[in-house]
Formats: sequence, structure tokens, C-alpha cells
Amino acid sequence: MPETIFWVILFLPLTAFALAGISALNQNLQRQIPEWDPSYPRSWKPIADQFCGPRLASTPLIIALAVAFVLAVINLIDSIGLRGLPLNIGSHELFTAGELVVNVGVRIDGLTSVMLVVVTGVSLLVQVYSTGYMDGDHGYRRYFAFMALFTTSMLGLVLADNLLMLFAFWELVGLTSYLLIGFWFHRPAAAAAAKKAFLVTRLGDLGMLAAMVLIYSKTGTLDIAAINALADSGAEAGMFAFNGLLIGQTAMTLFGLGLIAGAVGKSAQFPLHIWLPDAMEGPTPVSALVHSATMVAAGVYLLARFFPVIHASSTASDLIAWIGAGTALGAAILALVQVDIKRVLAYSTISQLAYMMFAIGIGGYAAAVFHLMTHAFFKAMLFLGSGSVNHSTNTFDMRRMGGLRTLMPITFLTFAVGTLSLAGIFPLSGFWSKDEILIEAWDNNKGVFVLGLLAAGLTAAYMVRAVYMTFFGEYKGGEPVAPSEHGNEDPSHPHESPRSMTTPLLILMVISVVAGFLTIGGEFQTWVYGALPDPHDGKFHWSWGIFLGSTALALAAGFAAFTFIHHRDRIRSWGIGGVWPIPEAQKFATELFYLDSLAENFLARRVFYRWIAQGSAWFDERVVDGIVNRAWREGITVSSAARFVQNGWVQAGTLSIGLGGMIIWIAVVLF
Amino acid sequence: MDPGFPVLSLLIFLPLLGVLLIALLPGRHTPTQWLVQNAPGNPTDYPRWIALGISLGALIIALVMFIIFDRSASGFQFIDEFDWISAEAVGFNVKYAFGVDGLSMPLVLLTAFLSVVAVLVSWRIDLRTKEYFAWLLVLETSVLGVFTSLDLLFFFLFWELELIPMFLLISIWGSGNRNYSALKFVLYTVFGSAFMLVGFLALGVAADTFDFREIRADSIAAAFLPAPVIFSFILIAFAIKLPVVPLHTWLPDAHTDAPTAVSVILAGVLLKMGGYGILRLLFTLMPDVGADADLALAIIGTVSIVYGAIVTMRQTDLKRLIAYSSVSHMGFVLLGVSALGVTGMSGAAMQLVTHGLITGMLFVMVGLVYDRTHTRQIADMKGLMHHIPLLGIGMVFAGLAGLGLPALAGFVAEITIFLGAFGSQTAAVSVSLLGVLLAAGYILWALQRTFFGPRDDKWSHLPDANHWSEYTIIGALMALIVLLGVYPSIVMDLLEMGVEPIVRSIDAVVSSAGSVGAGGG
Repeated sequence: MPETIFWVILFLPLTAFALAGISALNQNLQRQIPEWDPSYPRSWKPIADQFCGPRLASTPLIIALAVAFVLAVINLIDSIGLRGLPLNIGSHELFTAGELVVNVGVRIDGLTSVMLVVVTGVSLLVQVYSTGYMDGDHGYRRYFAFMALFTTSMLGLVLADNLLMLFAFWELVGLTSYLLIGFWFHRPAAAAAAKKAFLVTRLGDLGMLAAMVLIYSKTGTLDIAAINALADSGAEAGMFAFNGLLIGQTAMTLFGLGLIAGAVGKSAQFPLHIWLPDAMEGPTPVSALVHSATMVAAGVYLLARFFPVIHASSTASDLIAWIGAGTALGAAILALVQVDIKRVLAYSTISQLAYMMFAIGIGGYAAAVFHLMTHAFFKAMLFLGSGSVNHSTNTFDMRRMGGLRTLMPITFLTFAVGTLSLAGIFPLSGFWSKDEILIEAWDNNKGVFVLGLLAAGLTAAYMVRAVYMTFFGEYKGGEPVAPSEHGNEDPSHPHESPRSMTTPLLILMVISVVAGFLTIGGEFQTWVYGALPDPHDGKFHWSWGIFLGSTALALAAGFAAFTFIHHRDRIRSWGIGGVWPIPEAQKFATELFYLDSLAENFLARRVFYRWIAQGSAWFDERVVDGIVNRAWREGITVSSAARFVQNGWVQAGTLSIGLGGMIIWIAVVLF
Repeated sequence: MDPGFPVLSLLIFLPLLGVLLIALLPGRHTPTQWLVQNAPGNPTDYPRWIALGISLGALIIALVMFIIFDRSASGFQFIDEFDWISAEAVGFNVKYAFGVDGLSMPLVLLTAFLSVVAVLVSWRIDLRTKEYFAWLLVLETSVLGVFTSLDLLFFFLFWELELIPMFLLISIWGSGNRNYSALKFVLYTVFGSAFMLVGFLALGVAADTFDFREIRADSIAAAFLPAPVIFSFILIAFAIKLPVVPLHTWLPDAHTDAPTAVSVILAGVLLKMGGYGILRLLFTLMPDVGADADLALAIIGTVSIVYGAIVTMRQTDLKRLIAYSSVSHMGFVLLGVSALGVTGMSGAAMQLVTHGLITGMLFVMVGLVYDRTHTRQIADMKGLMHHIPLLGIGMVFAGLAGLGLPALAGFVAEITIFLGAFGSQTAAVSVSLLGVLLAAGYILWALQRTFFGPRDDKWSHLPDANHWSEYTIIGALMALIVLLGVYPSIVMDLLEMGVEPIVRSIDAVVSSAGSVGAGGG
């Protein structure tokens, strides 16, 4: 594929962003015209309304993404033909400053090709869904402008051939996430969640920034291929050397740790996971695209992209393996006690991303990428399904739902398929990718395997609970629509969502069912590995033991969850709570292990804001400025005191000369 | 580049011509009332139109210079010079000499651009408009003079000239505790200038000329003060202007009480004189002392970045908050300079330009909001986005640029500084990275409290941006910030050219010192 094609893929959504921006700007300008300029030709207004209306925001984006998706698929086929080998296609100098040369360029290999298809494909379906979901919202045009900018940034991130360009798009992805979480900025919770998300991910980005300046100062290059080749060359006597580049083992480890910090922030892993559940304040299609399928996968992408670096240091790879395994289990426990359906899915996302993280840590590169892909499809579907439910019930609180199975059959069908896939039930796509990760874990790290297996069981349990509360039992009435709110229809009679919303759900359902078969035969792995050595030599990796074990565990856990919730009253009547500390454990989990309050209330509010910032501000006002003001006042006092000397009396002047002379004379005589 | 015509002098003194024109306008108590009555249009608007025309003229000249600037030749171009004072016998020689090189050219263009912005943003000033716009133009001349002087005494002259319009603009057209703030600003600057003048005299007298192109290391060695002392004396003036912690407390006061246009000029270009002076005078004339001071500069820069950002967090006045953020951002300049390499110094120079645009825009936006709300207290505002969405877009954009978002100008400068300085100032850069996080913290938090949140009907009467001058300023600033963010080469190449000779002389000093040391060992 010629280089131009990739720039076209990148610039298509960017153009859509410009058009949507014009549309949104027009909306705001229209308000101003009466008081703005009386000479503004009235005849322009209808023209502006016709060409810069809401359709200008959504239609170009959908067309752009459709074209980009087709191009991405063609590239995928092309790349499979090349066995996924990396191609650096064109690098252009953006600016130089001394020895620093900053390029923009495109790098294509199996990983990039997969990501391009996932990003454009899921984004396309989400935008189609959004035209239905966001219909009637005051910020409709702004919404599509942000979505277009997000897709552009994400595409730039996966195309980048150097670390600086990757970082730039990485930050832009963070920005659009901020804008989209805070989309309904009139809600204080949304504005706060947006800020929290940006700051927490930026805390991780500091690590990535440090990693970038470190690798640049040691090797003088930011080129991803060069850095990976260096890391792949293997250390001799504590030094990596390749092609004239040289770096010590410690620096390489620090570089890997910095990248991990960035990935942990972006992919919401412990301890920086606290922003993702709050991010559910954004519109639901945003959660589907940004906070489950693509943006949060950027952290996994980063570590996959720098896979040789992570594995050039056992510290780095062990760290991410254990962070991932711990997060997978912890987030699954938290998902079990949520009552908000989006929060269940949010913690589930954290848990699934953690799967990919530990897969990378233990060396399962292809398994991680494969899970990233399958997860993107079925998790987007689950979120869109929750949005569909919200569209008719006007709530995300599962305690107010129930019985929607018959009222919203398509939503139920797709949600159920997503649940089975997420729980890893044969032969849905989630089964294949999750099993591959578990097999890798069994081969490489038994401890991680145990945590991963437990998390898999819990996944089945929390999803069964969510499906039961939402779709079974009796309908509990939803949330009444406030008079000021837009669009949502009467929640007392829930009904299926419009076709613009159900069609993407059905398409995603088909993909979620079939995507897993890609892996059979092992071709996919070899191709995704590309230039990296494939530890399985292109053979399909399969274990009957793990297949049977994980399936049995998922079924058992799902059944147990069903039993517990269906016979809840009877179980409660047994009075287990009195014997076992179940309520306490439940509280511990609903309080999110107290991690959120530790971070927000103690570290951010008290230690930083109350103590450090307030102390510094006091110091600045009272000490730094205080000294200046004091000196100023003293200066005035001294000079007023000295003023009497300059009184212009000749006698006084003569007297002081005489006195001064005497003092000097006495001093000279005495000493 | 020699245009065969004193274009630089024209540029510098064109605003003074505007001052003359404005001065000749009939005032309120003029006997020529018939002139006023028969004049076309509204005579009270004349000063602003003259100021706009003159500053636009200066901008066009600066832009033409920028375009025809010879990017292949290093050194000064567009030189206008002749002897001013030649007292050969006592070795007191002053030259009228002006010129621009890669370092000063972008700053000259920035000054000309922000002066137009300052005029436009003052469009609704009604108090004593004649004097106001006249002083604004004097300010432009003085800043342009500082950036183009090739002679220490002229540099000093323009450096001091800037105080007069600043003092009057703050104390007459300002708000709040404006007399205190204006006086504090002047006293602080004069305190620094006193040291600077001693340093300049020491340099000039020893070299028999104040033309700094001709001052050599051997004559500095023969000065009546040791070179490190001269360096420190001059540094005091520049450090106050930049400003660095702990010499920064004049800045928040001056900014808070100054009218919007003056804040824009103050943050946009006056602070840049400090950074420019450090590069242009200190490191060009005394690279050896500068090379020894690198660690000290890095530490001061880091303290300014982190401490400034932390104090910014606690500010309750929106304008004061942005003023404090300048302290933090100017710390990056010192950090970049302390790298002693082309990359770091180019980044530092770039930071001067980009911060001028970004903070200029932030002050413009705060000023436009203040014009409407008549309050700058963050606690009084909320949900402004519902009522003034266009100003909100501008404010959010400027804020994002301020926190170093990629594709906007600030990112390029900061990342270049980090990449350039990490090798030589590892610890300082590692700590400074915190500044990036803190900047995101104070900016996003301020936006959340002022523009986001539920609708507040108290503000429902506020008009959004609705004047052509407002659209022009916001649009132009946004366009430039994006342009420098995605295509920094247009300015970076020049700045790189400008700092290269400085780095070469530092390298020469360092390597000769190294070889002497090796020979001694």
C-alpha cells in the first residue's frame, strides 16, 4: 500500500472534525447574530442553516469512517500477504532543534493493521448508533466533532513510527477523552470526572514522558523500530548495543518502567484505575468506543508496540505481569457489587485490559493483541446494549430495571451474546482469546495463571448477575424523565431502540461470534508477531485441560451467581450474614477497597491541596512577598527618618561636618 | 539581509509617529471645537483607529522582514548603525545600532502582533483614550527597541523607557490596588536595572565600546569587576523580569490590577525581555561564566516551575492564577538555557514565543470575560459555558494550549526543552516533569469551576463574543497557536540559527577549559 493511503486514513476523520467544528460553531454564532452585526445579511442565515446544520456534523464523519474502514481492511489483507512484516513507510521531518530531529512517519505491521481495522470499524458502528442515541441533544454537533477528533488521534497513535509522534497523539487521545467525559458539562459530576480522568492518566504520562527523554538522551533516537531492535539485541555485560546505538541495562529497565507507567494510566490498571468508572459520566456511545474498545486499549497497544523493551528487563515484564494479574482479579471483584450497569462494564473493562497486560508481561504477545481485538467488539456491543437499555428506561441503575428480555428482544439477544463471549463460553470470540492468554499463563507463570483463572470465574458471575438484574424478573419502572431532559421517551413503557441503534448491535454480535475463529490454525499469531519471534512457530496453541477447566469454571460460577440472586430471599433467611462477615466484605468492595477515597480525599485533597499547596501559597504571600513589603515599609521609615538630615540648613550641615570630623579623628586616635 | 533602507528604525519608531499623531488630535478642551464638530465619524474613536493603523503598519513591516529574512546567513541582519557618542579619549563610545538575528526576529514579530492584539482588546476603553493609546504605542516602541538594540546603552535606555507607559497604564487604567501594584512593578524593575547598569558600565568601559558585538572576552577580563560579578548583576535584572522565584511577587500584583491589554503585553512580551537578555547578553558575552552557572540556573528554573505551579493551584482570582502560571512557565526558559546545547536553548527561545501567544490569549480571554461579568473571582463564576460559549471555546482552547497539549504551540517548546536538557540536567528535568501534571491540574480545575457546571441564571444576560475585534483576536491567536504547534519549523529554524553561535562559543570555552584541565593533569 502506498504511503498516501495511510495519510488519507488519518485525514479523513480530521476533515470530518473540521466540518463538524464548523457546524458546531455555526450553532453558537447563530445565537449571536441579532446583537452582533446589523449588517449581517439575513439571507445568509437559511443558507448557513442548510449547509452547516446538524447533518454536517454526523454524515461526513460516517462517510469518512466507512471509507477509512474499507482502506484499513484492504491494508489488512495486504499486510497478511506480507506476513505482517513491518514496513516503515515514509518519514518526514517536522522540525529540528540542534541534534533533535522530529519526524512524522508511518509504520505498518500486523499490530498496526489490526488496530486500524478495529478503530475504524468500531468507531463507524458507534457513530451510526450515536445518530440515534444523541438525536435531539443540544450538543449533537459538538459530540460528533469530538468523536471525529478522537478517531483521528487514535489512528495517529497506532500509525506513528516514532515515540514523540506516538506521545503527541497519545495526549490528544487523552484530551478527547476529557472532552467527551465532560460532554454534559452542566453536570458537576461529569466535569469532575473529566478532570479526574485527565489528571490521573497524565500522572502515568509523566512516566512515559520521562521514558521518552531518557531514551532520547541515551541513544539519540526516538524511532520505534530502532529502539525495539536495540532492546531485541540482548544485553552483553549489562549493555545493549545495536547498529551504533548503546544503552545500559538500568536505563533500558527504567525506559520499560516509564512506558508501563503510561500504559497503566491509560489502560486504567492498579493503582491508576480510579478514573475509568467515573468516566462513565460521558454519553454511553463514548463509553463504548473510548472507554472500552479503543482508547483504553492504547496502553496495551503501547506495551505490545514496545514488546522487546518490556522483555529486555525481567523487572519490567514481571511488574506488568503481576499488576495485570492483580488488577484482573480485583476489578472483577468490584464489578460483582456494582448496581450501575455501566459501572459493572467499566470494572469489567479494567479486568479485561488487565488480562492483556499480564499476557504481555508473561510473553503472550499475540494472545494479548488477539484479546484486544475480540474484546473491542464484544465490549463495544455490551456498552451499546446498556445505552439501548438506558434509552428506554432512562436509568443505568439495574435495581430499577428487570424484565426487559421480552420488551427489548434485540438488545437482550446482543447483550446475552456479549455476556457469553465475555465469560469465555465456547465457541464465541472471547473464549478463544481468553483461553489463549490462560494457556500462555499456564506455560510461563503459574501464579499469574491462578489469579487469571479466578478472574475468569468471577467474570461469568458478575455478568450473569447483571443480565439477570436487567433482563429477568419484573420491570421496576426505570427513572422518570425530568421535564428539562431531552429525547428520552416515557420509561414506564420501555420499548426497543430505533434501527440506527439496533443495526450496529447486530453487526457487532455477528463479529463477536465469528472473530474468534481467526486464531484456529495459528496463522493469526504468526502474522501478528510479524518481525518478532513467534515462540510457537506458527502452530496453533491448544490445551484440552484448560479448555475444559475454564469452561467448567465459567459455567459453575455463572450458575452459582444465578442461584444466589434468584433465591436471594431464601438464602438471606438462612442468616449467613450473621456467621460470615458478608456485609462487611460487601461494604469493603462497594467502597472500592477504599482506594478511591485514599487517592482523592487523602492524597489529592488533604496532602497535596491542603498541606502542600496551601502551605506554599502561605509561604509565598507571607514570606516571599512579606519580606519585600517589609523592606519597602522599612525603606520608607528609614528614609523619612533620614529626611531631617536633608533639611537644607547651612548651620546643621556645618555642624554635622564638624561632628563627623571629630568622630573620625577620635576613631583614628583610638585605633 | 540588507534592504538598503533603514527598515528597522522605521519599525521601531513608527509607533512613536502614531503617538505624535494622537497627540495632535484635538482633545476635550481644545479651542478647535469646530474641527471636532465637522469631523467625519466619531472623533473620540480617532485614537483607537490611529493606534490600530500604526500597530498594523508595524506588524506588516515586521512580517515582511520575517519573510525576507535571510535564513542561510547567521549573524545580524537589517542593521542600522552610526556612531552616537564617540568620546574616544575616555573610552566612552555609544553606537546607534539596531539589528535582528534568528533569535530576535521571531520576538520582534511577536511584539508587533501582540501590540495589535492589545489595541484591539482595548477597543471598548473609554477613559482618556488619547493618552491610553499613546502610551500603548510608546510601550511597543520600547519593547521593539530592547529586542533589536545592538548597543548596551540603547538596550538599557529602551529597557527603562518601558517603565513609564507601564506605570501610567497600570495606575490610571488599572483596577483594584493599582497604585501599589504599579509602584511595586517599577521599584522592582528599577532595583534590577541599577545592578544591570553597573554591569553594563563595567563591560562597556572596559571594552571602549557599548556595542556588544565588539565586546570580547579579554576586555571583560580587564573590567573593574570580575566577570562572575558582572554576570550576576545583569542576571538580577533579567531574573526579576522573567521572573524567577523568589523575585516574582511583583508579577501577580501587576497583572491582576493592569488593564487587559497591558496584561497581554506584560505576559506576552515584557517577560520575554528577561529570557532574551539572558541568551543575548549573558551567554553571548560571558559563555564561560554561563557554562559554570548551568546547575544554578537549572535549580532556579526547576524551583520556579514546580513552586510556581503549586502556588498557582491556590489562587482564587482568575487573572492572578494565570499570572502565577507564567512564573511556572518561565522557569522552563531557564531550564532550557541551562542545557547549554542547541536543542535546549532553541526550546527555551521557542518557549518565549509560544508562551507569549498562549498566555497572551489567556489574558485576552480573561479580560473579555471580566468585561462581562465584572468579577474575576473564581468562586463567583460557574457554568459560564452555557451563556458565553464562544468565549468559553476560546478559554478552553487557551487553557489546553497552556497545559502543553500536543498540536498546540506550548507542547513543542516544552518537549524540546525536556529532550534537550535531560542529558545534562537529569535531576532538574526529572523534577520539572511534575510541572506538566500541575499545569493540567490548575488549568482544568479553574475551567471546571468557572465555565462548567450547571447553568447560573445570574449570568443569563451576558452577551457572548459579539464584536468584530473580539472575533479577530480570538481567531488570529487560535490560528497562530495551532500553526506553531503543527508546523513549528517556521519559527524554530530561525531560533535555532540564533542560538547556534551562542552554543558554539560555550562549546569553545568548555573544550578549551577541558584541554587546559587535561594539560594541567
